[in-house]
Amino acid sequence: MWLFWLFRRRCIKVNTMHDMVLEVVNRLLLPFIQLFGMYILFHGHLSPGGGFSGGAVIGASLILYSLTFRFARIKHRIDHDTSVFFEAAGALIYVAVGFVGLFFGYNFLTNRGVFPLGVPGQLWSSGMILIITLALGAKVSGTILSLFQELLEGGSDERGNP
Amino acid sequence: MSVEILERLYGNIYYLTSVILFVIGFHTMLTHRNLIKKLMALNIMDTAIFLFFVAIGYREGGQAPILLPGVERFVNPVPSALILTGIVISVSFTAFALALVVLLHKHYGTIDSDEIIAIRGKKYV
Amino acid sequence: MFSLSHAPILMVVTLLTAGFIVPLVRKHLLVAKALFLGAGLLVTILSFLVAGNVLENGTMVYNVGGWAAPHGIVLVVDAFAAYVSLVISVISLVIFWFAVFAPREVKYEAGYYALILLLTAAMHGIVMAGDIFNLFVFVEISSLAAVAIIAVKGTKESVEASFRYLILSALGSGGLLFSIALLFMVTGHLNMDFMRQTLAVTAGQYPLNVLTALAFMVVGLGVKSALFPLHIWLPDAHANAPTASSALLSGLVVKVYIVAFIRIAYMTLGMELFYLLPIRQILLVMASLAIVAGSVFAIVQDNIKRLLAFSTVVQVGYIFLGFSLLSARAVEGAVWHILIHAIMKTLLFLAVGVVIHQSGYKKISQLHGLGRRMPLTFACITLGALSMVGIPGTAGFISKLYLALGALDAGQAIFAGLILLSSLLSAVYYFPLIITAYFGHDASPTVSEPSIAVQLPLVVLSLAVLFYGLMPSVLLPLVRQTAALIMR
Repeated sequence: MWLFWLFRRRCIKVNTMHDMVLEVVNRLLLPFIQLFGMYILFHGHLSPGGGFSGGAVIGASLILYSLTFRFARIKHRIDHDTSVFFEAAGALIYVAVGFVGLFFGYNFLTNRGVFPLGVPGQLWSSGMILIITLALGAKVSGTILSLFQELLEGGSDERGNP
Repeated sequence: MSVEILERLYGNIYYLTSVILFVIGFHTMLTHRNLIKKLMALNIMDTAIFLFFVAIGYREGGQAPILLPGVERFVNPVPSALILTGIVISVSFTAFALALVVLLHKHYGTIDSDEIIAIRGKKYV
Repeated sequence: MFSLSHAPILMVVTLLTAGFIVPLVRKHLLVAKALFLGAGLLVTILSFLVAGNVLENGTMVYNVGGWAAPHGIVLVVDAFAAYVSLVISVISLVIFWFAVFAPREVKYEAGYYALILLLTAAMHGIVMAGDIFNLFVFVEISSLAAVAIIAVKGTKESVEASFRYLILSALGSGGLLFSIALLFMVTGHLNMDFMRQTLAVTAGQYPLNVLTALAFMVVGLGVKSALFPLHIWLPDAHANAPTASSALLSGLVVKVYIVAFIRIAYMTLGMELFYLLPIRQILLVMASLAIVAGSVFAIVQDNIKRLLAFSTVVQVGYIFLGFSLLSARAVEGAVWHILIHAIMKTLLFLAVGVVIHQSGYKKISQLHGLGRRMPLTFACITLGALSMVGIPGTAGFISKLYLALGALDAGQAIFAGLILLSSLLSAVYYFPLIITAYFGHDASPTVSEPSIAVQLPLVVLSLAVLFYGLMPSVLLPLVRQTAALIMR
């Protein structure tokens, strides 16, 4: 009982700094969450799921990460610039993939005839769909994280666009 | 006669539910003064519309439309794909609105719509 | 590799891409500004090329990804889309210029530019979308960006106004999505052309669905385009935004939703519906109320920007009046008014923004003698106000003439009288502005004209007002084709 009280007081004292239970559990949990998100991303063209769902799972894991380790290790924290960079990079890759079709003389975002399509049902198939899914995943996870960070910073920057 | 009505209602149970949800959201939105509650009501309304849209494409016992052996009944994938977009839009609307609520609280010190109007002074004309 | 057939998608993609790059280079503001203006210029050139091509060869259809209409996403650029996107790109280029060179009003300039770029991209998308769901997505993007460019000012009033706008706009989006769901239920298509063909067969079988869809859509897009009883968000939102945002919102954004309404209600649901349902009478009543009540509200305003905002409510009424009168010349007048009101209102908002920034005065009663301190700016305001009233020789006269003639054509002379009355009322609320500025004691010797770069947009827009007043025939073929397309 006495031990419990001691432990509890210690916890309260360091509550603003870091919580050991959260850190340990998250250290165990985060790789699996992110792996699951990656699985959803990479199988976007084979099963239900895809860019948004996978990106949302990864983004949620990143939010969890910055919530848990935000105060403990400042240098490990993912800063706002990085998330904005991922947000823009995802969109730009999408547009770039669209322009590849244009360069080969087809319409914008053409898949057939431009990208190798592969065998349906295998992981490396479906041409540009996989690339686009990954780009969307980067964008969605970056957006979710940067939305979180903006709300955290007190709504100082009102960019909430999709 | 009444059995017939019940059957018809049961046949359209998804549409019925979505309309009820929509009305709940609308009522909450009109009657509550708390801005966060208004946003929740907005989300309920959005969800109702999403349910309505997805129910259009639903078929009893249908599966995801991916060509696999042994699967014959498919649901219509178009509404689901569209609603995914709709959900994304609704998420960004909500996030943006919450950011604005934070700002409103910073400026006015309250998130009660009536109090905000009282502070700002009523000016509809 | 590049042919003109790709131009429609390039217009949207250029603006979107620039919108994503600009925040990345926010540390180098000069690069961001150059990119912002460059994207606007490129899109303006493309829209001129597209409009020329549409006039010459007819409607352009672009299959994104190479998939044709019922399954793929298509962009349809007919005369209507070409005309409106021409208006959007030219007016927004002028506003871009103003936003870059005018004294800064917002904290995060690069973010502001990115939002404006997104908003413009979404407007082009709304106009050119060939299927109803993409139209909805672009409507959403433009709503969000429109709210954001009000909130960036960061003052108490602007945040409150933008929150109210956001809530009402979200309600409107809900209505629009519901109506799309109901139409999809009846037709099984999202492409507007195929929807039209299917509706001709199935609308009779499911009249309730179509009726409900139409009702939801009138409310949904009515809120967004500030049709009279649904306009309550507009005065606060447009009056408390930064100058460039006010001009963009009042001049273009409100009208783009009207275009979306015309696309769905007139060009997809079909004209037959209008003869079966009293929707036309409802629109006529709402438009007339907008014209009368908006004018009355505008008369009592002392804040200049609020006056201009109420004037926008009146002008939205004009456009809806023209479209719901349904005679050839009335529709032409409404199509004209989309362009002419965009020019006039942008001119007035920019000029008033300059005056407010230079003098610090926001009310008409404070403007005594400022006309002598800022002669060029007030000359532009006078020209804009005269055009708003509809004095012959200015652009505003042309569209009002068409609308009045159209009302006579439709056999409803009372609406021609209404337009006349409204011109009188607009003289009542615009002339105090001019009179106070030119007459009265000179009380502010410190106020001076802004730099030439800031005045350039005002001068360009004033010249446009005079140009369309004296030579309206330049865009006439495009306007005629558009009206014919709507009346099809």
